[in-house]
Amino acid sequence: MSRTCPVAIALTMLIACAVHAQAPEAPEGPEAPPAPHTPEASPTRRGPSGVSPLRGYVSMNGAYQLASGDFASGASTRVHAEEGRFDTTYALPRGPAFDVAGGAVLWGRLAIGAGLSRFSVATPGALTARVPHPFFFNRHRTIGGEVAGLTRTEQAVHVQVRGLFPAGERLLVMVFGGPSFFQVTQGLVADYSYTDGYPYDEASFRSAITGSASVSKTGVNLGADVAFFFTRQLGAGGMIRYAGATVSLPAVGGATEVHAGGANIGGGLRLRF
Amino acid sequence: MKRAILATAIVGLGLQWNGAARQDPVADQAAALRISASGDAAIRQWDALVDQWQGAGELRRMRVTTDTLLPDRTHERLQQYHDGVPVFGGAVTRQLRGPVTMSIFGTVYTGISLETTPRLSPDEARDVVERLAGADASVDGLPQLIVLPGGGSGYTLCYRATVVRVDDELVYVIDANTGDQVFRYSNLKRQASVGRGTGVLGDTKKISATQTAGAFFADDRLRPPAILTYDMRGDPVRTVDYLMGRRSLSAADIAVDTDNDWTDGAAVDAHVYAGWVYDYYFKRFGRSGLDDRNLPIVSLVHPVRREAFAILGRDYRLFFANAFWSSARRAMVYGVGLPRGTARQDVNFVSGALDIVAHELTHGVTDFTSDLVYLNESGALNEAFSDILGTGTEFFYHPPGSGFLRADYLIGEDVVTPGGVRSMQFPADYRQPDHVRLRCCVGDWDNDGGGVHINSGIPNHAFYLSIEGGRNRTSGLTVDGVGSANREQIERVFYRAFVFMLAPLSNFLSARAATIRSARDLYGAGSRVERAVTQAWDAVGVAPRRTVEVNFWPNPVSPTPGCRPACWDFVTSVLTPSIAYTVGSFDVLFYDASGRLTGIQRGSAGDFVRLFNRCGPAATRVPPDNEACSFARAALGGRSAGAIGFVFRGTLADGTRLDVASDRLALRGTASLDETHERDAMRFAPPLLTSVR
Repeated sequence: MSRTCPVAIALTMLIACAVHAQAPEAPEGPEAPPAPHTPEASPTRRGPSGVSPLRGYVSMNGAYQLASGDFASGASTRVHAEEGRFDTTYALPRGPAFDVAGGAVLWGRLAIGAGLSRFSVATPGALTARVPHPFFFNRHRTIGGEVAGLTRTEQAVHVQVRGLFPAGERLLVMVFGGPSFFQVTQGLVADYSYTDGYPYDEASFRSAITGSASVSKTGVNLGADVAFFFTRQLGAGGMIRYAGATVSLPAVGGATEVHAGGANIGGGLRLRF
Repeated sequence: MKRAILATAIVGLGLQWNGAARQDPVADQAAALRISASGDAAIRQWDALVDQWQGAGELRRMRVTTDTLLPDRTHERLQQYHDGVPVFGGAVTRQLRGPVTMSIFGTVYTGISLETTPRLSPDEARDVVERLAGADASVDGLPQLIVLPGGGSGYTLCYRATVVRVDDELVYVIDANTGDQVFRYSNLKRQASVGRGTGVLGDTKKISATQTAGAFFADDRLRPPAILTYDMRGDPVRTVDYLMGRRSLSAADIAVDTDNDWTDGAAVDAHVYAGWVYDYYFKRFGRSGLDDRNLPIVSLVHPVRREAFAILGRDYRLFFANAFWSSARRAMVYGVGLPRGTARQDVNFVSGALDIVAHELTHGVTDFTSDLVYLNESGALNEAFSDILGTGTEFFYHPPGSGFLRADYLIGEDVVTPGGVRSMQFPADYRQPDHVRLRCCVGDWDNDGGGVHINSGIPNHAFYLSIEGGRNRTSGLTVDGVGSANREQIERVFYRAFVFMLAPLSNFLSARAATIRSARDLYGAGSRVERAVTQAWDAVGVAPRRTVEVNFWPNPVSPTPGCRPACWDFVTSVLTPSIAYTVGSFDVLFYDASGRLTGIQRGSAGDFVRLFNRCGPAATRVPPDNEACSFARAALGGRSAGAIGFVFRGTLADGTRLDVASDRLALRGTASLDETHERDAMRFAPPLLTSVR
């Protein structure tokens, strides 16, 4: 909720700005000359130059998710009549993402649309475990190992309100924001196996037993897009977007909180209608 | 067909010597070819033979499995048959990479010429097994006919049957012609399970048990040897029957717990500490159990009930306030302690003392190594080695200090309270000598086997001084020990000397020489360790003698009770320096109470051999650094007090003639006897020295 408030404020400002831009210029005084009507000032209307009003847009981006960081999960295990524990730290690296969005102009410079993004990256885990000794209490063996094959997949649907701000014939600046609906699938270590042998004073990590948890969560997105059109409909652009949510993944030792999404930068194809 | 193996046995035996294929010479008795071929040449030869036997039907492929670790390998398992009957244990495994043989292992039996038609039918065999197994068992399926290597003609036609019982699964092998049981074994595979146990002193520890049929048994499967703890359930007759070999123990006798949270402290400590002792030996010395070959460690607890002490205490005293290692059964028996107030010290379940458990198991190690004879000095060394490693084990696991579950130089202090039974630091506080001058009763075998539990104080104290240093109270000599932080060095020195260097009749001087040698080998000549060990032996008086000495025990000596007229039993020892001494003859000199010589008894070399036979093989030649001793009875011809002395005439090994005169040994009297005999001097008979039977 605390994340939604600033976004709501931003959205409100965006809508206000877009509405303001769309409204006829009010004369500042009786002696003021009438404002020249330029196509840029009202992209939804065909102006004197004959530019068609913008009705909708599509963007396809190859993106790069900038957010990175570690998260951890762990659980207690009862081994040899004593509590042991294993913990895994997962590295979430930056990585490529794919993003597609589209929308239609509702009114003036205000558009509504939806976007779909997908981010998938390997999240290698580093497992450490304290394995109870079979013969003695409080004489745990510490083992550790790398766990490969764990991935994070984030798929999100972003509902966006966009403010469209043309700058000349070819340049279009868009700012946007709205709710995002994330589905996060994360590979997690559920258990581990180890090898040891008499006299059992040392043990070594053998393998991890992994599973995956998948949860959905609503978050927010906010960003800006700048497009340059080579033709009337086709262009290229870049975007920067923050879309994120905090999700609670069900894990063996209890829920693990992870942050999904983050800042993305990207660029790609732009279409306008 | 069967002649294929017979015919190729010669070839196979030839392969025995080609180096690449090893064969077990023990298997010769059973005419077995043990195949272990992993070199190219051997593989080629054995591969051809296996193919030949397979073609003749004497080896039949049972299964082929894919190697899970090497994807391109398969393993073929072949069973040996004789006239269509499987040969027990005759099997070959062949590792293949595609069509290429990579290795061959297994055993095939040769020279089988056995009629394979049994007198008993399978149904009759089943009846026999049912009778053998008892009412609560059932035979699983029909017995299978097998050829069993062994028996009068080399092989026996047998039936093998599996019997299922509530608590076990047994395989019976019976003679297919006579129905006699050939052998049986438990085929039940058990699961190791670690539980929690509360020891005698209320401490909690992990216990390695085995889960079977919902219960947990004191059967440790996590360590290399089997470690089994049996609960004799307070039945002394059963315990004695077992110790005397009249009955064996079964799985039903193993101590058991229903939830793996063990509360029988005696069983918990016996079982857990046996494992700890095994670990101590393994980690400290690299030794694999009592015999270094992972001999099973068997412990018996609750041989009696403590409450039965009033009734059974006299006949079964060992089962109460003691623990012992049975060499015959290779098993430990732990006493149940004493009811409070029945002795000066309280005695708890004896297995509750880690040093005692280690002490007793070390007797097992001694059995398999030096085999020190449990008499005289060798017996005292046997005891001392057990105390030394018992204490070493205690320091290995417990923090140093005083009190329960603390490591110190007391023996048995955790269960015999207060104070334990011996002290390596202050032997004299427990009526043990701390110096060889105070040595007790060597040669008096009825007195603690010549003082095995008494004179152990001397090497015990040497061990203590080697580590901790300090001053010997008797000699006043000071030792610079290696320090408690380096105790491991001294433990290794003593272990190495006692396990590898000592012989069954080693004495204190041998132990001195061996431990010094061991210290020198391990830590260098002139090392601090060697110095500490040397000084320690010096301090307790165990050092090479300069000349032949004659000692007495006791000194002075009191009259032997019940002897009329008065007599005195005592030990006389002739101790040699580092050169042998051969006794030619000797005189025994008798003195009255005033010191007047009253008689002389002359002894020949033969008399010496007859009398001086208590400290080693009887002979006139006393080896270097050794002793000959007698346990003799002197009579003073009716006198009630006096003295006795010896003069030995002999030759040193270098040809030097040497006559040795002993000090006079005072033969004490009692006032009443003295008066009686002094009044009636005419009744005096000649003084005499005879051996005590």
